Amino acid sequence: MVAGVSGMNGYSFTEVEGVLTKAARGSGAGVAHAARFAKAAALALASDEGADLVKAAFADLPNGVIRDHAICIQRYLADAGKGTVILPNGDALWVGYIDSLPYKSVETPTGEIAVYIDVFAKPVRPPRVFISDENMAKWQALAAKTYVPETEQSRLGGAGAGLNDND
Amino acid sequence: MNAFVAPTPALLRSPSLVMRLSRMGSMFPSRLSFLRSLMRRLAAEKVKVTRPVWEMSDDGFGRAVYSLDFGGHTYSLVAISTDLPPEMRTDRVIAEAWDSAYVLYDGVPDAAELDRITANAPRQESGRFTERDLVLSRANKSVRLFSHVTERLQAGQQPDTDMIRNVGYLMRTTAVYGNGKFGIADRRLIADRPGLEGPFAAEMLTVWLIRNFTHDLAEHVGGAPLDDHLKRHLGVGNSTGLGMAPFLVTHPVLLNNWMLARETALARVRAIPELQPPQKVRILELAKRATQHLVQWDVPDVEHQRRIEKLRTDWTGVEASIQLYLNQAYPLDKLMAVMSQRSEDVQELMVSLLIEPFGDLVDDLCETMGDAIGPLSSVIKDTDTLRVLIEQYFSWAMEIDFSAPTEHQQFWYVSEAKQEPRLGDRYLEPGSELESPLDIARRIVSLYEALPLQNQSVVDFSREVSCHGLAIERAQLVMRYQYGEIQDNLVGVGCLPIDMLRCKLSFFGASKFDPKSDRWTRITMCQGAPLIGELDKGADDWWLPVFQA
Repeated sequence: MVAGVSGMNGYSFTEVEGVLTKAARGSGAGVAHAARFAKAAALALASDEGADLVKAAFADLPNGVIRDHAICIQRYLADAGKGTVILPNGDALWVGYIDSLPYKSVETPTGEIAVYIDVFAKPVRPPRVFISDENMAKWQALAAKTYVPETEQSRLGGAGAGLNDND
Repeated sequence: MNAFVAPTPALLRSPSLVMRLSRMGSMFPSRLSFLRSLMRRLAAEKVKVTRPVWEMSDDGFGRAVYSLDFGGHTYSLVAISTDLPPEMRTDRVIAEAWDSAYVLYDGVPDAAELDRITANAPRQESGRFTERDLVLSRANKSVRLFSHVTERLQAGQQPDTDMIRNVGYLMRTTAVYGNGKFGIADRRLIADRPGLEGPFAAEMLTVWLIRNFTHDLAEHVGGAPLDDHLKRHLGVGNSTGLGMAPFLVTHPVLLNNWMLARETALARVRAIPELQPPQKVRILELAKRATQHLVQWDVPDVEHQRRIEKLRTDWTGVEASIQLYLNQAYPLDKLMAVMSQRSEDVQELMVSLLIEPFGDLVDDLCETMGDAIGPLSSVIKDTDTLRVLIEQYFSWAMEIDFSAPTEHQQFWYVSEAKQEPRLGDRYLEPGSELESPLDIARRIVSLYEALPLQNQSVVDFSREVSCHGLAIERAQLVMRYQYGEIQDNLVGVGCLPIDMLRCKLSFFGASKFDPKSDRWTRITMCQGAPLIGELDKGADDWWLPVFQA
């Protein structure tokens, strides 16, 4: 395991997003809500409060922010139509939801967040996401609720099956 | 670059024609394929590859490092060759050891980094990697050909040309992992780098370097050089299964951009009013090459061999008739139009052929095949609008009778053992309650049936009925990304995952598809591609390679 921050281990953003997507689904979230939450949560975990916010979000399922944040942002976007959209500021998870939109986001002088389409603005992602062993084990256990034991039929149909590999 | 000939929208083949599984399963590599575009970039920069480390026993076990400067960055392939007992050699994803393991490294690894990679790469999924590691891969020998080649070289002879032609690779990869897997770098960390912006560019670079390593390893064990024309035909084999299929469903923007680039390329060449004599000659040459390639494409599977033989017969007739159209106005448009009476295999081979001579006209499209910013979906405000949109763009889904058990007989899931995608029979196997959300058509129909008679905001509807979130997202995407949806039922009994694999692999640049079932295939990558020392001479003429003994 790669050592990074004390007591934490470093993971790629994609790994964390993948585990959290499955963990949210394994905890009862809908497919789309789970995917949006995972992107936001992986960003939020870079902050000090991130892990606690993510844990609280899981605890609130099937209600709570995993359902509400995505819908809330959708409402802002729908109401605003085209052009720049002004969203309220919030905790790291809420900001994660905004920053994971495919739009440019900037803080306004009044402390709100303005988002707009900027096709030249590439999403910013941290090179590593640091997570404690305890939290990762919990989230992996939740993710495992979406896995299915393989059957013999499945094994016989997989890549490489049924051939002499020393040919 | 030639003047841009803007096609009219009518010249683009429609998504309802192109995005069907059977047609996607008939695709061939083209000059837009990722290996081809990477080779052009490498050649444009006249990239030199060095081999700073070669620590290899006489029988070919040890490690090597290949380094190159590309796009202002230095990359290295670390290759580790292991003495693998025959009983442990399997291409299955369940394997735990391989003949060789690889990491594409960001920079040149120092001794400590090289030791770290040497310790972890052979462990693959159970190893642990850092953001300096860009791609992770492994490969097994084609024991039959590797042994033959090295024995011949040791005897002072070149290998048998029939064996080279029939097998086509010394090793085959069984996985090429990118984008953050097992701790390696996220794609986004390198997506802006010159040369690596294109989809899977780092993975393609890795495969090309692996191919070179397999040549070097055989020459090292054989103690003599292989003839270059033999090496050129020795690509890298690959076994690919279901793990690759869901990608096309879960990445609709990328799928759209790949297919749209290909269709736009076709539209551009169809819009050419008149061909110059050298262009006519080139098209006829390529048609003949395609004929030769088909002759050299044999597979053990009886059904697929029959399909290849039919294509050979059909293509022979097509090749003979191409000349009739080349002197006419809008010759390629007319040629493609008459192809509509032919099989999908013939049509899609013709698409790749017609694009091939016109690099000046189409190569810029390679720059549009990535997805730098993510899905820019349109916001649909109310359920009446959503209903109309579904009727307009998802009529193909509405035609499926989901009350028939066969239309949802299969289900996709993630396996507990390897956390890899699998496909099960809903009525015979457990776990369908945990199925992965690849059943887009079924979800769209379910959403449509759930829409309220009284118009309301989509946001309010989503809040009340949260199970339709994914279907709403896909509906919001389809207006902008019309080639982003496979227009078939992916859980019906008729869904053949091999069609999805072939589509994706053709974009990689794979050829010689060798299906072993409807769920996995062997392929060859880099066959005919330039060797490391050939990037400055004719690096871009290897579409559908033909072996010349």
